[in-house]
Amino acid sequence: MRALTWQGPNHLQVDTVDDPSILNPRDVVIRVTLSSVCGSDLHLLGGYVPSMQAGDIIGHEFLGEVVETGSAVTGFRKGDRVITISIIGCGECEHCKRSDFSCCDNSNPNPSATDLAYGQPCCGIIGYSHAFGGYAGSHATYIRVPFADVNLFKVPEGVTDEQAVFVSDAAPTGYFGADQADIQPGDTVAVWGCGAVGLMAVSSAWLLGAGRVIAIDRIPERLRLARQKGRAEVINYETTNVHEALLEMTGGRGPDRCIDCVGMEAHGTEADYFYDKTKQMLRLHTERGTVLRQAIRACRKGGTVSIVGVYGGLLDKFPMGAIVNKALTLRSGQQPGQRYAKCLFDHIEKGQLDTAYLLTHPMNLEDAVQGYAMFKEKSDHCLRSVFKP
Amino acid sequence: MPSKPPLTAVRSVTPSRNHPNLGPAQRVFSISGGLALIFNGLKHKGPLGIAQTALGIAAAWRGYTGVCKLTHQLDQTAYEHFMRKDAGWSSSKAVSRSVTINRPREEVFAFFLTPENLARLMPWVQSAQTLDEHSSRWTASGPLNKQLGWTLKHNIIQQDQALQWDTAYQGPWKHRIEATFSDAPQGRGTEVKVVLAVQPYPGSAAYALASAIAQFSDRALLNLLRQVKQQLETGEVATNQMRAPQSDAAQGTATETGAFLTIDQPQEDS
Repeated sequence: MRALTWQGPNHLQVDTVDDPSILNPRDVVIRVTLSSVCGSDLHLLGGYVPSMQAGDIIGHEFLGEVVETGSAVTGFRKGDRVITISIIGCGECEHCKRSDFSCCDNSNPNPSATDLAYGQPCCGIIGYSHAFGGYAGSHATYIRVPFADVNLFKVPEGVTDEQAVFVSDAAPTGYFGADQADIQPGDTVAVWGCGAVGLMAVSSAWLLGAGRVIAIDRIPERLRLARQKGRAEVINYETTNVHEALLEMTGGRGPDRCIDCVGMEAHGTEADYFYDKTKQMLRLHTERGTVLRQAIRACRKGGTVSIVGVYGGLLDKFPMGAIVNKALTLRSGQQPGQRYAKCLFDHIEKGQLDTAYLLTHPMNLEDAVQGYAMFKEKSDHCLRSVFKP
Repeated sequence: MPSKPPLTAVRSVTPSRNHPNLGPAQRVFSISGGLALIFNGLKHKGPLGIAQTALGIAAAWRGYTGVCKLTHQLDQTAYEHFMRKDAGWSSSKAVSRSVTINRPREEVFAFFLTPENLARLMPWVQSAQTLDEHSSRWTASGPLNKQLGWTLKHNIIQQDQALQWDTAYQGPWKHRIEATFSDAPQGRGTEVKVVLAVQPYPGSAAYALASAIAQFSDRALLNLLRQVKQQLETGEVATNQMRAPQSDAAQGTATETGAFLTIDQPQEDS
């Protein structure tokens, strides 16, 4: 089959590789019909996530058709149109039983890497480095998915492919960011980042009862989408002091809930960004914490900072004093999309959530290298390149 | 087990000037040797002289304070002292890992009791065969295409609560593995704690070598316990392979365990 493989930092290529097969009774093999790029892939692409190996297939947000099922799979059969939650749960460990699927104990075949880095083994993630299991990704003709009955969801008839593909990752990540922010009716919610996840967090904040949503980015087209599709007020951080603007817009209180949808490769215009960038270039640390620092500093006393942007290692100059003295709650995690998939499909069918506009650049898998370049450079208003294998 | 052992994580007291870990003779030797190096270094000058002076200052300071971090690193832990006495060994190096398995204690205990169950989850083990109620024979691929083999003696210390395996090998590098099973709180299943101990040759150098190897053993023990948990909780072991290897396609065994578990001083199969 054909697949997009990672060959080294900023080096991708489309190769011919082995087809996957059923290896465990709870596996399925899926023929991929749409597979989207994701902002978190850029961390892999840039070499910021260790334990990538040349030849690894990347991609984790996808839609497809079941072509083969393992002997213990009960909920799916050949021909089903499905999405897969990219963060793999087993459904049997204590975390999965609590619906914390992204804390799964059993889905990572390589537990020692995250045990060393984070203190305990973390879950497996499709197409997301060997530290997170080394699973082959979805930018390929076929993909094997473990624990199918837990991680697959049939796409309802009334939902198109272009809408459904983002229920695999971007939509549940944004929804999770808003959900764990504990939004109360009428709350003011600030969202950093207007990529696909940020835009989904904006929409989700409204669905969960926000009274006002403020979106922060620097790309005019993305700010336009946040304003038009997300009905958000917007701040361009390249032209506006974010902290001062947020206080000015909220009577000096600060937003009740702040959601970081950017993560470790944040950009900024202030001194801390250049400090982070320098240390990152010197390989002295991995994270750029501009957005997280802004969110913590701006959040109202007693508020919540929700983090769904990806961080991988150690962050310098973390404002712990502000967290303690303003009594902030920090919540974070990879998305447990299994918790939200059916609810998200329901919102899409009812017209309460629009996901299809995220797909700006459909293209053939053979053009995937170009697709990632456009996505990385944000050229031609690229929000998401989506490949058709 | 004669008495409750200390936690394997308990270390000896971190040395300080108030709690030196060097004896009087060691301190005198360190100071005098250090002064000699300083004197010789200043006499010869040049890069070698500078190096000697620096080393001499470090040695003299070590003797003056009575604190040596390297010696501290080579101290056996409280558990290792316990294990050494309990097993009648001259020295001991131990690693430990714990896991909570969301299955009843009796089921988890029974799984560990069957050597074939564990061998199937260790990619480097070729076979494990139960010889009788109290022993099993294990084989593995060794370096230079040699087949290695060893015999383990099993001992049920307490039914459904504690197991012990000892190598039948006589000599240094004997191994003992202890597994204890207890009910996890709030109905979370069974807490399994495994301690893997080896008897290195006496002396600091052998202990240092055992400690270095233990880094790999620790990782392999983690991977094994996680795979046991996967098997018992989900009925299968997660794998990232694209296709099944021809030989163990039916097993679906996980890859990337990455390191060898030093279970025994293996002997070549006769």
